[in-house]
Amino acid sequence: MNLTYFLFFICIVVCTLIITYWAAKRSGTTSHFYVAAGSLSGLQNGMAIAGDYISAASFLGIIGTIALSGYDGFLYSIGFLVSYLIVLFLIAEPVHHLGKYSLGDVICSRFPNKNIRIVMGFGAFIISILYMIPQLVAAGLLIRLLLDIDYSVSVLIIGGLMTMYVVFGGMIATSWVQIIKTVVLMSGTFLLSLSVFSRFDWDVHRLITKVTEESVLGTSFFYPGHLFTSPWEVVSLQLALILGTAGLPHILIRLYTVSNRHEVRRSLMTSMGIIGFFYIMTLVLGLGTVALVGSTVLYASDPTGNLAAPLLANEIGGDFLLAFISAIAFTTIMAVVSGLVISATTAIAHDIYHHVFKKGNASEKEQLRVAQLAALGVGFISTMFALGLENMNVTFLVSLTFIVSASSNFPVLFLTIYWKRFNQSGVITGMICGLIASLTLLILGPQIMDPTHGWIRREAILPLNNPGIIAIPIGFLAAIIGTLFGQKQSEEQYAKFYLKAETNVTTRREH
Amino acid sequence: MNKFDQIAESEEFKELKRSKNRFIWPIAILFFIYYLAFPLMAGYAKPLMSHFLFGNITFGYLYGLTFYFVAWALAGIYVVKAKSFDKKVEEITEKYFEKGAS
Repeated sequence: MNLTYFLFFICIVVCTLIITYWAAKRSGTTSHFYVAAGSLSGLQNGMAIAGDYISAASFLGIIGTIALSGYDGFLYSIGFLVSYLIVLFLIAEPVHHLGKYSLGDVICSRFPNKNIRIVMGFGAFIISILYMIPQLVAAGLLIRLLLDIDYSVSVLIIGGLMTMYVVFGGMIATSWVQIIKTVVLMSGTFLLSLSVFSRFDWDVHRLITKVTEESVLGTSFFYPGHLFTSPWEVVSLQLALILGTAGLPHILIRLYTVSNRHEVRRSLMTSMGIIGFFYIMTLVLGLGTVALVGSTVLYASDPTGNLAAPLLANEIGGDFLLAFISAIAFTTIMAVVSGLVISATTAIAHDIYHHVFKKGNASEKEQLRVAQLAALGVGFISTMFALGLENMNVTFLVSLTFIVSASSNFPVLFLTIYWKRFNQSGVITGMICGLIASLTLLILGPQIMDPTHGWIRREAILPLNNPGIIAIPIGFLAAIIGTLFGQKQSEEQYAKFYLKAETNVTTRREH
Repeated sequence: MNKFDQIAESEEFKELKRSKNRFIWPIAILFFIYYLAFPLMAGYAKPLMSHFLFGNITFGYLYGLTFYFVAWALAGIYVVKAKSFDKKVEEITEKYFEKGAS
C-alpha cells in the first residue's frame, strides 16, 4: 500500500475516532443516543441527511452508469432529489411532531398497540439490514481494489469502525461522521467537476463534442434507451425511488435530531440543496469520464462502471487525487452504514425491547445499555453476512430496500397521517403484504432468476428488475382492504391526532 | 372538554386544515404527474426526447434538469407558505390558551 493512501485513511479514521470520543462523553441518555437530544441545527442536520442518503452506490455507481449508458443514467439520477419534495410536503412535519425516536412511535401515536410496534420494528430492522449488507460488501470490494487489502480485513475494519461509532458515540457521533462526509464528498466532487470543465476551457459544448467522439455510443449517447429496455421498468424504478425515500427509517429518524418544525424545514432545504447539487455534478463527472477516460477503458477496467470516479480522478490529478477520491468513497460508506446501524438499533432496542418486551417500563439506564448491546449485535451480524457474501452479486439489494420501503412503510405512514378511516388492521395488513409482495416479486424477477448467473438458474417469471410498480399498489391496496374489514375508529380521535400531527399543540402546551 | 379538544373542533382549525390541504395536494399531485411523465416520455416519445434543441443539448436533458430547479423552487414556496400557516396556528392557540396554560 502506498503512503499517500495510508495517510488519507489514517487521517479519516483518527478524525472520526476523536469525534466518537468527544460524543461518548456527552451521550449519557437514551435521547442523546437515539436522536442526539434534538440538539442539531437545521443546517447541520441537513448536511447529515445528505450524508446519510448519498451512498457509495450513488457516488460510484451513478457516475459510472451515466458514463456507460448516457441518458438513462441521468434519468436514473433524477429521482433521488425529487423524492425529498414528497418528504417535505407530506411526511416531515407530522413525523417530527408525532414520534420520539422511531417510525413505530409515529404509527403508535395514533394506534397504540403492541402488534403494530412489532410489525413496524421488524420492518425498519429488515430495511436497514438489507441496505447495510450490500454497502458493506461494496465497501470491502472497493477497499480491496483501491488499497490492495484483503476483502475480509477491509470488511472487518469497516464493520468494526461503524459499530464503534454507534455503540460509544450514538447519534451524535453518527451525525458528525455524516456531516464530515458531506463536506468531504461535496468538496471532492466539486473539485473534480471544476477540473473537468477547466480541461475544456470552461466550454460545455467542447466537452459534449468530445463525449460524442469518445463514447462507443456516439451521438446516441444522448438518447434514451441504453439501460432500460422497457419504459415500465423506468417508471417502476422511479416510483420506488420517489416513494421509497419517504419511508426509509434511517432518513426519517433524522427528523428527530432537531428541536422544532422550523429546523425540520431548514434541514430539508439544506439537504435538498446539497443532494441536488451533488447529482448535477454526477452528470458532469459522468460526461467527464467519457471525455477524458473513454468508455472503452472504463468498461475494460470494470464492466459495471463503478470505477468511473476513481479513473477520472487518476486521469486529472494522478495518484494524489485518486487517493483523495478513494478516501471520500470510504467516508461515504462509513457515514451511510453508521446511520443504518442506528436505525436498526432503534428498531430493536426502542420498538421491540422497550415497548414490546418491557411494555414501555424499562429504566433509562437499562434502555441505554440495551441500545448499545443491540448496536453491537447489529454491527456483528451485518459484518458476518458481508463476510459470507463476498462473491455474490448483492447490488440489487440496494434497489430492493427502496421497493420494500415504498410498498410497506410508505403506504402505512401516509395513510396513518392522512386517512381518517384508517385503522390498526390496515397497518398490519399493509405492512405485511407490502413486505411479502416486494420480496416475492423480486425473487420471481430477473435479479434472482437468471439462466446464467442468477441465484436460481431459470428463466425469470416476472420480467421486471424493479417490481415497484406492482408491489407499491399491493401495499396500498392491502392497507385499504385491511382497513375496510377492521374496526372503525372515531372521527374525533382522528381530529385530535391530526391537530398534533400538524401543529404539535399538545406537546408544546400541555405537557 | 379540554382546550386541546376545543382547538381540534374549532372552526378556525378546520379552516386552517382546509387551506393547508388546498395548498399541498394540488402541488403534490401535479408534481407527481409531471415527474412520472418523464420516464414515460423517455420510453414512448424517444424522437422528442432525443431532439437537439440548441447546439448539442437535447430536449430530454433539459427536461431532466428542470426537475432540479422545480424541486428547489417548490421547496422554497413550501417553506414560505408554511410560515404563514405557523402564524395562524399561533393565533389559534393564543386565543384558546390566553388565560395562560403555558
